[in-house]
Amino acid sequence: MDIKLTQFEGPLDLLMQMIENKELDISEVSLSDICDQYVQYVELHTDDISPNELADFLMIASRLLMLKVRKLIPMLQPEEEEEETSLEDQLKMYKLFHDAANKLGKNDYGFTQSIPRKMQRKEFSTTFQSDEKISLKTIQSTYQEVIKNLPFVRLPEKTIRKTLNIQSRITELRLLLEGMTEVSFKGITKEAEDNSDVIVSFIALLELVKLQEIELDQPTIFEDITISIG
Amino acid sequence: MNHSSVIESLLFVSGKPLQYKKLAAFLDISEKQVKEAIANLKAQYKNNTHGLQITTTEKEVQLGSLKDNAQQVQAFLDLEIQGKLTQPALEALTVIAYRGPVTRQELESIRGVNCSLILRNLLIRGFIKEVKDKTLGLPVYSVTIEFLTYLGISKTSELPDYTTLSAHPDLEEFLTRQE
Repeated sequence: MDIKLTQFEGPLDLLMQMIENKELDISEVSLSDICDQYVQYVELHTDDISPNELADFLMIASRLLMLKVRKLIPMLQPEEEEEETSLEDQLKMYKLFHDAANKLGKNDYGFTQSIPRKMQRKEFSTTFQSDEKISLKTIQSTYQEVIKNLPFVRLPEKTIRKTLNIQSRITELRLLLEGMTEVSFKGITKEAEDNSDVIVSFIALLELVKLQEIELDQPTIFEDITISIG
Repeated sequence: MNHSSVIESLLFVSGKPLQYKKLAAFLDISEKQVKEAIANLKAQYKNNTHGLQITTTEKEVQLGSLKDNAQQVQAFLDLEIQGKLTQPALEALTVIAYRGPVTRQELESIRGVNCSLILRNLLIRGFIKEVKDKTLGLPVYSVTIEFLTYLGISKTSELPDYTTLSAHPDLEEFLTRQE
């Protein structure tokens, strides 16, 4: 039997609606009968139940399972008579308040029924009355003061770097090497602005090596490179 | 001096809830006398065909329009319709109204579900207030005069089945077992 539950307020409400839909009274028997349906419902609607409340739904599900187990295996009674409230009692109690809430809800019209007297509000004039202390001079000086202290909005400054062009660096190196037999890498990068400048020079050198225009010599790693005309 | 009459005047001009304590201090009479005077006043309003009603809580009293005329008053003042309470909110309010002052734990054990969000919303709407219970060391909640006037109920004991529900024997047993 598939019962479509329109709306429920919480785990106990869901349970109550299921029992009422089957026209059963609240009892241990009806609760254990409803167990499968309840568990299935919670499983299917896990995503619809707020995570805040899911634990409470699972709690009821586990108590229902316990009831069902005890009904199927009567020997399986708790070792000591636990002083815990039965789900049956809890549900009966819940129903009392649920019914009371429904009665109370009949008085809910969406607005206050007994409205208190409005507070008297003092009328206040909206005309402008100038202060005697205010003169043209004070206005002027105040305005100047304001202007002076105005935090000017400056556009964020950013230096736009000149694009480093490998091709032009090659031309530069060729000119430099003209009339020289050899030059050190440190020598040509002496005036480099930054690392990328050095890198461009290095790539240009590699290009020249590839073109077999120059030869590079570096005796050991990290040592200066000697550039000589090939 | 007729206390009822003076209190009525004060309630009329104040237009907001007045504390018994303040009224007693102002009139230099006991709180008991204040409550008696208000009970008198209430009875007069009930037996009459006036358009006003008195709402009371444990601590406060307020004069407002008669709930039977709510529709007209609302239209006249062009008051905003706030929208009805949701089922869970109504249920929580019911527990708080019948059992208040009540702890969150008690509310949750009756409703069987976490109520922190609902409590917050009801506090925002002004329908409940939170007071720290010194003996319990926990906050307890009770309904406000705003809630009573919202439903047009003149005091909590006039809630339907109040006596049965507020001290239901099963409930007492249930709650002691929960502890």
